[in-house]
Amino acid sequence: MNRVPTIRGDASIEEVRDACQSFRVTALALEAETTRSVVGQSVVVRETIIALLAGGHVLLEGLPGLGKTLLVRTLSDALGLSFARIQCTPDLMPADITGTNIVMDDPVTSRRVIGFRSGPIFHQLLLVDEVNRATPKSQSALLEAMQERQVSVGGETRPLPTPFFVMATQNPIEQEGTYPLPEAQLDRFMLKVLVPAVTRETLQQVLARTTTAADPVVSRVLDADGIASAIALAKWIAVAPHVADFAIRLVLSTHPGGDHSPKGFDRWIVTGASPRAVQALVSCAKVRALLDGRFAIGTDDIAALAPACLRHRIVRSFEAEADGRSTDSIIADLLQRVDRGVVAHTVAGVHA
Amino acid sequence: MCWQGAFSSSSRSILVASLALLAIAILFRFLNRWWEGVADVQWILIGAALVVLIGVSFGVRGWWRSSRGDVETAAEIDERMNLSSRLSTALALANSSDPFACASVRDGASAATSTKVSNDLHRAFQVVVPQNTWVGLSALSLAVAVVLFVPALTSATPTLNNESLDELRADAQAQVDAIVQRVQSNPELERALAEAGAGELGKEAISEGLRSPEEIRRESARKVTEMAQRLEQVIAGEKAQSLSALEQSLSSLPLPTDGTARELAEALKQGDFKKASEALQKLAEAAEKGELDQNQRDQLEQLARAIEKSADAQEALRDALAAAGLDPDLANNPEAMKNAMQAAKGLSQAQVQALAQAAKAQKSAQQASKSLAKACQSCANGQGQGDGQQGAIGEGKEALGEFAKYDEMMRDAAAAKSMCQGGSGGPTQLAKGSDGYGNGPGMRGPGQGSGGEAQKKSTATGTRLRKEKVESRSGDVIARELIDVEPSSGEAILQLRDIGRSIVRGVEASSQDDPVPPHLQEAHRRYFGEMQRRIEKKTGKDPK
Repeated sequence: MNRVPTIRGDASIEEVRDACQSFRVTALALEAETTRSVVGQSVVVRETIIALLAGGHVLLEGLPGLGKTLLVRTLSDALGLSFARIQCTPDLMPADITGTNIVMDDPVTSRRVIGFRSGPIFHQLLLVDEVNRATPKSQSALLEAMQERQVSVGGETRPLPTPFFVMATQNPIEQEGTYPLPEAQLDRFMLKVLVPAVTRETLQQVLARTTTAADPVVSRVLDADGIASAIALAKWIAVAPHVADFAIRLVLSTHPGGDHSPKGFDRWIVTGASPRAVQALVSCAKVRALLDGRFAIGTDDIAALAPACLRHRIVRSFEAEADGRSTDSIIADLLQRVDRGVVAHTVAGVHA
Repeated sequence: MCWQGAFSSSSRSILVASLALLAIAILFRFLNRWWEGVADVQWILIGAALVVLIGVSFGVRGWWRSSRGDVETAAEIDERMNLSSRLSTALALANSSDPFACASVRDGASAATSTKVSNDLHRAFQVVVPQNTWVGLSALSLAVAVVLFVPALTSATPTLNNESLDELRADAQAQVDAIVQRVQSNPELERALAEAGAGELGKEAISEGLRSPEEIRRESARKVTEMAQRLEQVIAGEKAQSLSALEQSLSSLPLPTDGTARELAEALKQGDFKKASEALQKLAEAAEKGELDQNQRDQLEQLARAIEKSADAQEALRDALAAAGLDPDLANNPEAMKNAMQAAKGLSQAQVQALAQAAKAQKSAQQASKSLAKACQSCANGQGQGDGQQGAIGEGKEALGEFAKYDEMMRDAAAAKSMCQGGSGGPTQLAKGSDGYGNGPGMRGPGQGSGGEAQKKSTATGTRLRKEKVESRSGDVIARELIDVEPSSGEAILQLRDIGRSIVRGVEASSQDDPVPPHLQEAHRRYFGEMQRRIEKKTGKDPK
């Protein structure tokens, strides 16, 4: 079991280095354990771990059978967190997620009382499988839990366990029988990770690991306290003003008609990314910098994580859809247009 | 790194400036102006130096304006060397006391001092040729090739040196001079052209300032065309009409059986007034000597009467009036003709002027005919030049001499006009009465132009007007009128009368809105007048 040391404000550079090295080793170990089961999805695994260590929720999107559920289950094994799974269907009710008050026998008094029976959301790692097959009513039950990390049932607010991660999977919305997630709920996910189709080599490895006697066993790398320490350490990572400004300008460039919107992009975008996007960008960039052995984030980190952070926060226009402009291609163009070298003197230090 | 940035910026500016200069040069080349000056080596060198100067100036200015601060420069280095913002972050957080910021500063410092960074720095900031430079260079090479090797595209005409231009200018001037010389050979024609406002035409030499063959040709063509227009005015002028009217009136003269009178009549019929003048001179001398017998006197008397009669015919004026839609009989009454011309609404100003000119020409021809008739009558009376009738013979000879001059002037004018239209002078002169087209060698190149155009001349045959009785019958419908009244039955007489009146009123109103051509007005009025008259007759009301 790995440990990530806690850092104080008066820590020395050597202590910082040791802590960052410990974080890096732990995270890479977690990544290695995960990739033992999940084959050929290294980018997906890396981005999912980054979101977890940044304290955010993840939305995995891909066709059925690509290992989305396996990834979450493997992570739960490697992290040693309490795990629950919700298989979303159109008849799923909010009470099936949050729990409800029912009449039960009191074991002490042997009398019948109304008590709260918690739902699967009261677990540290929650897998919401095929979230876009649930009705909007059920989807909205996740809103408060994801943002406030608490649930209100029967007039009583109940806190969720710590840490609390929601990892939702969804099929592409073009498929029949799905309910697209509302923008407000999509914004709650720190990253939206696309699970690509597997390659020939990947399928060979899948066959070798799943149809033979070899049964990969996932070791536990971290526990709940270790995760909390890692998340806390990542927040210490420094952010230079010009890098923070780049992230801000990148997010503002997605706002059609705004001062920072490049010419010609108004026609592609209807709604730009929310302020949560820049928070997600910097938070995830900090984890990425730590994984790379650095003590401060760079514009490279922002650019690398921009697609996963922004693709579910940008609403394309009909014109973009008609012209076949994907959200990722719009983001790629924006990254080309936003200058990385300009320093905004109005932006103060945003580190730690 | 500084000089590399300035160099890169300057090279872009030089490329743009050189393309702009080349475009200007090509533009001059196409316009064919000042090209010779631009093509000089010294100007090319000056232009090239100007391009480099402008390029360097703009390059340094652009580099100066785009120069950045320390952090921005460090960010540029980070980006080019894939240092993940290590250097720029270290510079930006240098004053921070945060442990992670301090670690970042130390990390950036170690990255800056690493041997890998120092080794790769020059490679990362090497001089880069501007993007798409090959496109600019290709366009530059292509443009130079077009200018140098594709003369057909540079301008419509090849560039000539000064000697060739002078030669071309001299040729063009010679063409104009030949026409002017031809005109000046006939003082009458020269005077007539001066009256037509072409006195100074051709006297001014083609300007030395014209620097291209096209401009010289254009100027030459302008002079020649203007001269041709003035000649055309003379050919169609009053004197020409007088000559034509006289020739037309004399063309139907009866020929005496023999003798000098026949010679005179033949010359008059053919319009050869010079020969007629000589014949009249012979007759006058014979009459003076008393050599004319009675038969010859009778023939001369008949000829005099025929000439007198032909003078009254005024066929030319009658034709002109008929062509203008007026009554040809108006030729016999000048006052009525003047009033008719003023009253006719359908005549344009040009038609009125043409009629007035035709009347004047006809009068001139009529006076000449009468003078000639008197001269013939004097000879018939046996009175020679020494008698009291000498005045009549002199007037006749004078009239014949004047019209002989007209005739010669028209021939010279036609010949000069044919020279203007492309034929050369002398070789394409056509004899009077020739109807072919000469093949002149032209001023430049063989076979240009149609050569001389034969002067139009009436043949010796004449026409006689006579009225024939024809059977009246129903003809083609020449007008229809939409009748906007209810169909009637019963009291048809009154209805028919009303219909007739409404038709006539409608026709009158529509004629004012859309005037009927003058030559149809009479038929129009007759038709609808006749219709109303018949209707009135049918309905028992006598027409007025």
